[in-house]
Amino acid sequence: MTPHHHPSEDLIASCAAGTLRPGAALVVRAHLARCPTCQADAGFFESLGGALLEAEPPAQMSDAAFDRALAAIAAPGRRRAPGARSASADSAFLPKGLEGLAVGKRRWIGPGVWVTPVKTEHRSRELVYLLRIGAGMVLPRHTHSGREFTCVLEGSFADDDGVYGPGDFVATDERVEHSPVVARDGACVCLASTDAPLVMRDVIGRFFQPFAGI
Amino acid sequence: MKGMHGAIAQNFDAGRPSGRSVNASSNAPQRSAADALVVAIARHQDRDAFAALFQHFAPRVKSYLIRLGVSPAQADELAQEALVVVWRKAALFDPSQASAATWIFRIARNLRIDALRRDRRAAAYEPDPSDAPEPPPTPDVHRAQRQRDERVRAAVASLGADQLRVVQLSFFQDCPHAEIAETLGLPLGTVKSRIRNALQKLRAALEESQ
Repeated sequence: MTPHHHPSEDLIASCAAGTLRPGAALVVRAHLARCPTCQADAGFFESLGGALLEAEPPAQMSDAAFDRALAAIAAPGRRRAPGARSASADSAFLPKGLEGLAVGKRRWIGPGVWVTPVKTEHRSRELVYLLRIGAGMVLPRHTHSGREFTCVLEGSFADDDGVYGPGDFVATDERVEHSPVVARDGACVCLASTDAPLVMRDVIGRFFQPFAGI
Repeated sequence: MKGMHGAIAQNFDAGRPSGRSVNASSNAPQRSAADALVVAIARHQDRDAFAALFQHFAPRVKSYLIRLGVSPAQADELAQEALVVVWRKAALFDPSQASAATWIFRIARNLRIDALRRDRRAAAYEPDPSDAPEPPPTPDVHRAQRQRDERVRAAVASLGADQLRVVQLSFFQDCPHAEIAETLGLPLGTVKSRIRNALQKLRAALEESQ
């Protein structure tokens, strides 16, 4: 099944152009991995990138640039060992193309509910995390900070605006206040990013209430 | 190695590197001189071809990176690195899927994203999904993508200098329209209509290729 909820064309364009914040770009790419329509749009913007690159006014390269490049191609290639880093079990939730990302320790918020930071290693101050909520659970009514992007990786949830299944993309900000309900037939796992200065504790706090008394 | 591709390299230096072979109505994917250079590197480790590609693309990659906000010194280094990646990955380049320009654009974009990482050795992943995009399912899809590249390039080539300028600002620099108006000293309405007209042309190119 292909997703029903998509990122805006502007987001896809800035992801393709390389101007989007890296954490947000990860969430957009998680959607692209499952959405042939948006993949085609992204492909168009990459074609545009190639065409604009051709049209760029050439900048003056430094004097030594070409000699350095020649020396680099003469040297044996640095071998980057993929998989040298041990991906944790939770990395398995990540979609194609992102599966190598390292994922931190799970922090359990309540039965069936956990969050774990995704280690993007970017200097950017975004927070990227996986959130898992058990089947049939209702999240406490909450709002968002800054621009937040979410992509459903597994399962589905619903709020007043609709039902979100695998690959569906949701953009939220301060104006969105909702209380999502996870479908009864399975847990829901999402990849989310926020550009607000949040730390994991804030994310946990947002969802903590309903489970406190359990 | 002074190989058979020296001639290609020379033509590439002298003439327009691309666009000449573009025929938007043709069904056969067209190959540009730049594509031939990458293929020459893949097949023969052709250093003349590398020199020609470097001369053409490194300064453009540098210019693109500066637009993204990279310092000129780092942009210079990343542009060198991008061309070194072109050399190393030349065998992965498939001209039936993408033009060399689009492929090099993706490499440069990804290198810059990599460069944003705090500690490159600690980088958790080397996805490079962009250097080798999702393998499309059929040769038809390959051809469609390649045609899209050519059509978009033809559409960009047909933009007037003023339109090109706003598209560059809007796409490569992610500038809001109001900022573009300020940068260019133009009324906001003019900027909006230029962007609208440019996008119409580009979208027409997209629709033709679908």
